[in-house]
Amino acid sequence: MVRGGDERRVPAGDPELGRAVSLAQQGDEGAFETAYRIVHPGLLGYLRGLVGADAEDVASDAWLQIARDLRRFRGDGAGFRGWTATIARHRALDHLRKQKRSPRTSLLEETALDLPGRADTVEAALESLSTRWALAQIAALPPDQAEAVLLRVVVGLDGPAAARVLGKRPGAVRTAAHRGLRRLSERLTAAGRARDATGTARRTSKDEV
Amino acid sequence: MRRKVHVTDAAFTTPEMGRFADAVRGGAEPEGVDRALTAFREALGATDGSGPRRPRPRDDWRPVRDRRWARVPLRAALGAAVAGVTLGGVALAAGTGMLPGPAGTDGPERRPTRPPGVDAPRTPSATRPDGAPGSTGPGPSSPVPPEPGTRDAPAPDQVALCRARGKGNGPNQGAAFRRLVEAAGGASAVDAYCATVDVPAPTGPPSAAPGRSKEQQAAPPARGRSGKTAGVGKGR
Repeated sequence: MVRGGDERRVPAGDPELGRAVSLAQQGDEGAFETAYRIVHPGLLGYLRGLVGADAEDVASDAWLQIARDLRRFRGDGAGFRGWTATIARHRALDHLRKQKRSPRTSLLEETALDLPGRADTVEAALESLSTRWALAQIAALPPDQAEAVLLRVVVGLDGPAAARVLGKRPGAVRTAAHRGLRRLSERLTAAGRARDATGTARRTSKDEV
Repeated sequence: MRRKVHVTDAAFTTPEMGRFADAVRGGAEPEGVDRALTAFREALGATDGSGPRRPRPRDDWRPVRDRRWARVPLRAALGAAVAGVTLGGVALAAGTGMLPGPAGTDGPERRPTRPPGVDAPRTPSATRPDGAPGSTGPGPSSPVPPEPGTRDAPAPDQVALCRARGKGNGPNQGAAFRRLVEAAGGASAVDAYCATVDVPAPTGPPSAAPGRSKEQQAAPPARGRSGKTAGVGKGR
């Protein structure tokens, strides 16, 4: 049950991603697929936070543009994450504009509709963190904190890159991200405690921090 | 590496947050990769011949220190441009300072920089004989003696020279006429040169017709048709 956090940590510069992007820019299709497989999950998670169930469609649009503009891109693997996140964000905002929704309301609608009851939530946290439950935690944050956390935790950007994606000052984004993270941690911890309290038979609980 | 930012950054990559991030990412539609690859192939085909496209600022995600290096040439170019403008301004100012009269009309302004003998004949010969308006259109308007009707009054010395021609009845030997020929850039150009002077004259310009110029240069203010011209030149 315990999965190492390290595998999800973004190595500085993302060497493998950087190589793949570089090759893809020269027309290597396999390398492009590699880059896609590395980057797409984070982008999709970010988009889920922004546009909910439309994330797959918006991601598709985003990848269309990513493929089109790939040769303009300059940077390494980490830069590629930021660049693609910016494109995805613009596509998401376009999408919401068409639907005349704000990211906030879309997130709330999605999660409010599907949010399970408290017991279920805890139970979901016990088994594994379901996508829906996780998005509900994001939705509970103020919008600026939610998006900053998504970029930092889900997309895997560092502070300055997240600020650039959002077009805001790094200091403001760092503050938002840290506040959001603190809240999120509290919720996760609370969920973990609840799980510890209920999951008496679980031996794995002691592994869960 | 021990800066505060990096210490707190660790909080974003704890195992707990890693699991949370995985949950948000969830699963993806398997066909997503096919769509992306199709887009990649199409983009590749579309841009194949055109070479790598120029990145815009928003496409530059290199680490800031690299971007700074990349910007050096730009800055240098900017500096050079600024310097160029500055020096150009200085040169311009110096050039203006050399001008004898007050900088204003371009006619007199040009005079001292180029000998009239160079300037003067160019317009008349270029515009007048063939009479084609488009041949040297806007070009000569500024650096050469004013065109009839459109310019300010001709420079005084030009008027004086042409007036002298009118007075120098008969043989065109006079010192004044020689100066005129010199100013006009040749005896054949005198007619055209002075045609521009005819503007302020009362009767209006029957501006020297091309056909007449030859006979004019032989005996400038002679009888017949040229008498008219002479009359204009004299201002009578």
